[in-house]
Amino acid sequence: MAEVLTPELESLTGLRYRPSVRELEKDPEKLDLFVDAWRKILAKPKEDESSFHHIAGIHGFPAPISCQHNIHFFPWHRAYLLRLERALNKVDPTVALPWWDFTTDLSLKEGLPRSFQSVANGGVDVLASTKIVFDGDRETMRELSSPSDLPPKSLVENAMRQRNYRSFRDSYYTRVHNAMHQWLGGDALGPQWTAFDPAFWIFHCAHDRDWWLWQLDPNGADPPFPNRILRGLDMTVGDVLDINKLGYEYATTEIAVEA
Amino acid sequence: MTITVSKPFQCPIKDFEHEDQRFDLILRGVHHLGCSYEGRVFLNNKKANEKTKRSAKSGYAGSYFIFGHGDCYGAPGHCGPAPTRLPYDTTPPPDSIPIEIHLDISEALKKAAKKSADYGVTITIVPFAKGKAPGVKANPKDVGKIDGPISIVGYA
Ligand SMILES: [Cu+2]
Repeated sequence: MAEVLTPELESLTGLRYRPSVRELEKDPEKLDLFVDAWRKILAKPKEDESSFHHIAGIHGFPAPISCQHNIHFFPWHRAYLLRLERALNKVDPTVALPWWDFTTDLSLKEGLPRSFQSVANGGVDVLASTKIVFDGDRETMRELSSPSDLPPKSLVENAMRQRNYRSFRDSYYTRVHNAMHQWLGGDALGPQWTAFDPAFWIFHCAHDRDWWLWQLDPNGADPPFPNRILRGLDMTVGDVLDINKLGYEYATTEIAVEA
Repeated sequence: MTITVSKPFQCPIKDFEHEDQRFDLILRGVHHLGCSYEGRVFLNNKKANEKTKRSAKSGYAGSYFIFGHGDCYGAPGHCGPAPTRLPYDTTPPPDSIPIEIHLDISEALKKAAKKSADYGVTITIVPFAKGKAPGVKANPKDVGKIDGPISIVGYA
């Protein structure tokens, strides 16, 4: 009989573990910690570099639009997610960004995870929308399509089958990522204000996870131009290729199976 | 908002009678500086518009998605036409140049071609934009703009 060990990778490796939103929602205490940290970075003045508003403003307004959706779409957004996670960690080192698997049966039935839905649907106020202080204190808005219109799993799988970075990026970006912005509608339709919608962070985190899983495939190649600076983020493409070097991980357990 | 309707073309479906043949729709020169939209592709439905249902009956073949830049907010010239690139220029192309879209439309195309006389097919591309948010400025003129050429690539 093989002996099965299930060590907690987080305590073993010191890496921050990024949970799925659904998993986070199953543990109300953990969800509360996450929401508390979110509230704290929201409350920081926009001049503070670790405030939600400062960071959300790097993607689009009010700064010159810095987001990169070209060949470096994946590295840029990896560095960007990290920027927000580090801001959250400044107020609570135990929290991590959660990711939303929008391809599950539950998502196709219910759409956004409960905590990110509108307050009327049981969502948490600060995860449902953001009051954009740069834009006359207005709330971000969405024009959600029906849950069944979310990009199907087959499109993600199709991207994962691509054998070089360029076709992986092209396939994932145009069919999955762009479809997510269109699905959310409202402020998600342009780079200017999309990062102010809390939902931006959880679907982009899923994209980052998918890229990581693709990178783990021995055939998965690195993006070109590793020395390029990721605009507005003080990191290069090469800096973000290994998520463990950035201090986080998506895997939870490693099971040693004796033969 | 630009709806693109192709001239009828002959789909070489009779040369490909087996199951796993594949047809990709290739759109070149697709603009993406305006607002975001879904490009809905319909076959043999020249009158398709924003209100047309995405169903087999309406000839719906699939959608592609554009995440638009939503107008230019950069410095003057930032989004202008890309300067001519030298052949040995290995830097990434600027974000603003029109892109290429590939969409697998095999199933719908095979059906449409078999149904029509002489395997004739037309393609209609209908941009569908949401865009009610006050902060997302968009120039509807750019939505759905395709410089072309448009082609179908068949894999036997
Ligand atoms: Cu995005």
